[in-house]
Amino acid sequence: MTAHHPTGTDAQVPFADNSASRTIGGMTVENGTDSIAFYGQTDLSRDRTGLERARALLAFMQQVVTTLEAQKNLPDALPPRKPAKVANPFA
Amino acid sequence: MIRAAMSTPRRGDFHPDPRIALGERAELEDYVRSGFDRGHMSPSGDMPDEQTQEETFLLSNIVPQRAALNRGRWEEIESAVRRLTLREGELYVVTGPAFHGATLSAIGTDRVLVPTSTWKAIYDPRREQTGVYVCHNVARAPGCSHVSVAELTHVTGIDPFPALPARLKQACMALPLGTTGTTRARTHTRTHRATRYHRRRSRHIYYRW
Repeated sequence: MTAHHPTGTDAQVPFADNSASRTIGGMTVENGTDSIAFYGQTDLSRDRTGLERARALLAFMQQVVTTLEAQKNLPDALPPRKPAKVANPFA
Repeated sequence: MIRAAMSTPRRGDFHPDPRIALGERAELEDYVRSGFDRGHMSPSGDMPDEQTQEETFLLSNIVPQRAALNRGRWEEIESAVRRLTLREGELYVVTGPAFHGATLSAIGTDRVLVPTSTWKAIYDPRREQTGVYVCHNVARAPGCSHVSVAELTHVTGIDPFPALPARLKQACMALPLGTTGTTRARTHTRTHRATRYHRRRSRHIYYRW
């Protein structure tokens, strides 16, 4: 597959693209210019691994906060967009 | 393969499928502010290396899926199928969307159709049995169930295992996970209404497509 790689590195810049999917500290992070999907489950164990995970998650969260704080005219909430209704071509 | 998949770090970039003509394919922008997750059909978590994993991020392998399903029951089913594969040694898995009803939701300027259900068909060659997981693509508490391959084919017109004889497709094998909530409750209601019709229907778990 020779598809384009808009973010072909491990670095993920919050809200910068609509393509990058990464796991950070055991959690899935799917980037979007409107919203970042952030889900999964992880363990923050009381050991070096737990510390590494917590640091990675904290670094990501800090990036999100910094980006949102820096945005001018940040709306209270993005308006919801309703999907269109179309006739079922398979019916 | 599954062990290789489990040790492959999960990462990829969603991208449009260049093999499909512009205007006919989904684009990244179609999903922006759509309120839907980009739901994998073939799971990235099943892939044994980075190349095959990247291919699962093609939008031709993606459908608009509700977060409650994608991040919840569907993920649990994907994990359960991986564990079942380790136990059985080998499984054939075919995953797809179902579009039921007169009208459908569509997202983005390319009008990407939102499936009403997603299904995952399993063939276990060791047991010579088949079965299908099917889940409603809804925003709240998506109900999942098990149906036979015969029922899947009857409803969707798709036979995921055309080389298998019909006798292997009539019943659903015992599958881990997948039946929940409203669908289960409905099954019980039906069973108790003991008309002949309902008794016949209740032999397999009822799924309202």
